[in-house]
Amino acid sequence: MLRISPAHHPDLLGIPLFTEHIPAGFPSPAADYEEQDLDFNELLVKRRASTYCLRVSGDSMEGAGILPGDILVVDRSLRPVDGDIVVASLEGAFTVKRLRISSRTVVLQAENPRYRDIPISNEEDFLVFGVVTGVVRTMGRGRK
Amino acid sequence: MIGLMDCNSFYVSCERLFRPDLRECPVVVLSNNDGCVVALSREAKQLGIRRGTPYFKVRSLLISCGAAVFSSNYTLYQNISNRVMAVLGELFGEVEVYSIDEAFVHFPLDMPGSVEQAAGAAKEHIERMVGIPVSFGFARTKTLAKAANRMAKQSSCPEGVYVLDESREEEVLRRFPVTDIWGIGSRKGRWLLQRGVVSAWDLRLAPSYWIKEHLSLVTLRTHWELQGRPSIGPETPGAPRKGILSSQGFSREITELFPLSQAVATYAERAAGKLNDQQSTAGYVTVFVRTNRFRHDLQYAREVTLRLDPPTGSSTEIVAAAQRGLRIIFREGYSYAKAGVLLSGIDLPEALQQNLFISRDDRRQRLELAVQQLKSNYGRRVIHTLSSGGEHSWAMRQEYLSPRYTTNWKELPMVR
Repeated sequence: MLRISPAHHPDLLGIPLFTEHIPAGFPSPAADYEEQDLDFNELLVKRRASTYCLRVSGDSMEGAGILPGDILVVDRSLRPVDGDIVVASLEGAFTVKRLRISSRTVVLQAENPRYRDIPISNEEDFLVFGVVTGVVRTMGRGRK
Repeated sequence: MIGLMDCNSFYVSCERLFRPDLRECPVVVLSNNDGCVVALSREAKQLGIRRGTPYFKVRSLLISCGAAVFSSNYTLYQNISNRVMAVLGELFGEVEVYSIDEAFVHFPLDMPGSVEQAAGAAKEHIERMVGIPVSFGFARTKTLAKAANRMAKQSSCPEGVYVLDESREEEVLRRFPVTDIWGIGSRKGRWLLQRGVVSAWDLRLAPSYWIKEHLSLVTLRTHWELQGRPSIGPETPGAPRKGILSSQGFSREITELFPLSQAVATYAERAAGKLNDQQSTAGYVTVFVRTNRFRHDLQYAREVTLRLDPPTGSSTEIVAAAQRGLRIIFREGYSYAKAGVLLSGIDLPEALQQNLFISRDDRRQRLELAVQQLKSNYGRRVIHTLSSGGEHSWAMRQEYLSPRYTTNWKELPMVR
């Protein structure tokens, strides 16, 4: 016989709300100071509809603090400008690099001395997917 | 003016979004169970493949052309659709979502610039924000906007925006086949053709009394809409659905009660999940099963409706009722190809509030809450009723399923 014991509310994941009984006449002195929990979405995602997450597989951006296994937060709503770290599609694959735009040239720069700059000559198969606005890394036993 | 936004080859565009290598190669998306082609890229159309073609017929052609083939990835499509609709809402205010890839918008009179300019800017904005190409058709009514959208998709309209002004209606409708009008099905279309109503313009000019006498009120509305009189009201956005259906064909035919009951439990649970999403209760559960209509052996199809008294949103109660229903209609000796569960008598959220207080069993209520919490925190598949569990050998065939790029941490697109 399978028994299922009632699960209790996982307050760890909810928004803090005072659902406990408060003794009448003694409201919590902290009640006025109650605020919402920190929300990582608020920190990382400015525009939900245009934000995508991608997983890093190479080490070409090590110098910028982007390591293999990291999750990039990419916002498509931003227009890429010189100096942005961008995700771009090049020769049929996504790559993350620093974008260098001057009056005459567009170059994708790695931040790792072992990688060479990539000058963009054939515009046809180059397209900026979005601008990197954040990087998320879980580690140790929290690895996802 | 009313506009219809439509995503171009939506399923294909979604598949291409995270596959830059597929930008120019033929892409097709298959229906449930990988049966036939439901969406195809321009390159695939050029191979002569049409929507609805059974996959097995074009399989070798697709392979020889290096085409990419995908099973329907509804998780991905729905997520991308939500993004498109959200951006559309920011641009136009109220959006009436008509399908996963279509929505009606109103062009506000106070919007600066012309309709063409605004629609062109909106198209570009959606493509940049979400990464999905769309087209817009604007006209005086929904039916005309739908026709305008079709014009926007033609090669003669590379901008992807078509505004059907009143002055151009005759010219366009005269060339527009009656069978292509929104709301005119193939049967009704044939009937009209036989009576000399060939173009949309003919239907617009047809006498109203004649339409009323021979056809339905629906067609009369279409007729008015073609005349420029808005006659199709908005579906109240966010209104609770009248019925919730969860149904699917099996990948192989089922003859025994046990796997069939597993399937019915799974569908019932899925439907109950949707019910819970809108915080409603259902008053009736309908269960149906049927054999494969396209085969020439023994056919059987039956349904039964059970009353839920009092109405409930509890997935355990709904699953139990669905299985009771199945035992009533199940007959041995048949090969079942499809089953489904329909929830109806759906109540508004307010009504649920009252029901919460006449709860018969508080423990059940708490269990239900805990299950819902688990599902919303850890995903739909984390917990299920025992009856729907186990190996689903009958489950949908999805051999070419792409990753759930936008909804699962383990399936994110890769970047070097």
